[in-house]
Amino acid sequence: MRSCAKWRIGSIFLLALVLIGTVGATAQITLADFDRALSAIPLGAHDRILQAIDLGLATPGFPASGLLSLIERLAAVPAASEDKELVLLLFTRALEARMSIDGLLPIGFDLADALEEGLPVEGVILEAFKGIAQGSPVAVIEEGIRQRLILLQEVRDLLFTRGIFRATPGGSGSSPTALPPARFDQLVVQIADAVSDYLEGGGSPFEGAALYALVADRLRRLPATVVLPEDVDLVLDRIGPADLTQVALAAMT
Amino acid sequence: MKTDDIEIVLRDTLRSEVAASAHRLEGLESQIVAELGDRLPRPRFVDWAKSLLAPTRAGRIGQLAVVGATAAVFLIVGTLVTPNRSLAPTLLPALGPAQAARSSHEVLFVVPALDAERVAVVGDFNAWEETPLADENEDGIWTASIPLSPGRYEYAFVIDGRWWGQDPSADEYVRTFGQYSSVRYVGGGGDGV
Repeated sequence: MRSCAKWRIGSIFLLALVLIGTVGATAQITLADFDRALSAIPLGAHDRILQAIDLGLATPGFPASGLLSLIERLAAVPAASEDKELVLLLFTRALEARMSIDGLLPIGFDLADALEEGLPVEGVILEAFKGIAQGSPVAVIEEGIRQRLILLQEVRDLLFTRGIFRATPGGSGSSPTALPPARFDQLVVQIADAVSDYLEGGGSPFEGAALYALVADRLRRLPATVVLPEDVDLVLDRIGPADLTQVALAAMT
Repeated sequence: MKTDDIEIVLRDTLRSEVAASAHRLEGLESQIVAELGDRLPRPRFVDWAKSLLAPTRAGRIGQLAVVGATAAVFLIVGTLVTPNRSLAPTLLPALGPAQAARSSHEVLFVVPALDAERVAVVGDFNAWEETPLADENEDGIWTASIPLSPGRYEYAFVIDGRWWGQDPSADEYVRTFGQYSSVRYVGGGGDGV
């Protein structure tokens, strides 16, 4: 009986220690930690980002450790610092708009993964900026961004299967369908964006012809400085309505 | 009250509201045209070039300035032309000057907002951060001219904090997160500027 009581007291003491340790670890994250982590990425908006984090730190329930992990993850990703800065600005904007960033953190890590994969995420992040400017709920923004990230992957994979490639920098580039990275990325971005707009506008993925017409119209209206007409012809020649239906369905499921 | 009666009351109220505000819309079109016209006259390049070639001290200083500016332009272009960056318009506010340097189209945004106190435009071009519009002669027509490189741009007006995404002069509209935004194609094959 007595040993049981001792055991109980011991357990409670241990639990208390663990709790104190956890709370202590969270409380130990300061603005200086963020400053240090951010310094690992060349940022034009370092001060603005830090200011927003400072705002967040003063808010109860601020996921300091999660955000710090994201910054460290971004610092380790081999991608352009401009793109990493865009991801951080997404959190900055949300904090400035007094939004809870809890729901955005998983998206931040998804974006870091996408950057690591070499996906062109600038347009996706701009959509998130738009959502914040509109005052949309975090959950709605999160869903929209997740869908757009899937679309980027699906469209890129579709182009691969149709023999349109992203030429590796410094590669021989002998194939006419191995496009320079910027041109390939633009095709992916514009097609994914058009499909996303179609779906968000209430279009059915099963109406492949309508979806194809919208994508074709979008690509043909873009200035040649954004997408070359020969690239548009190439891609419209190699993909069809059924392909876009598959892409749209993949993003919806 | 019957449904028909409510409809009549509503119709009468609307009619009286429209009649009361009609005087404010008189000449609106000519005001817009006049305002746009006011923006057109700019210092002519030919006149400016002639002044530079004139055999005066100011002309010589100007010649030196042109040489310096040309060198600066070459330097800027040299730093901007970097491989592996997207061809898309660069949209980070932090990169704004770079975008401005590549811009080739002054795009005019116009919105009538008669009683508004604050009007701004947000869009892809300013990373959805507000760029204020001005109503210099206080006629309720708010304008802003923004230099944009060729591309497709989504945007909306924010009138006294309210989202206004259906600009009649847009090329198309998109619906994202449940709200409309306008779209303009700048340069190239679009119907835009």
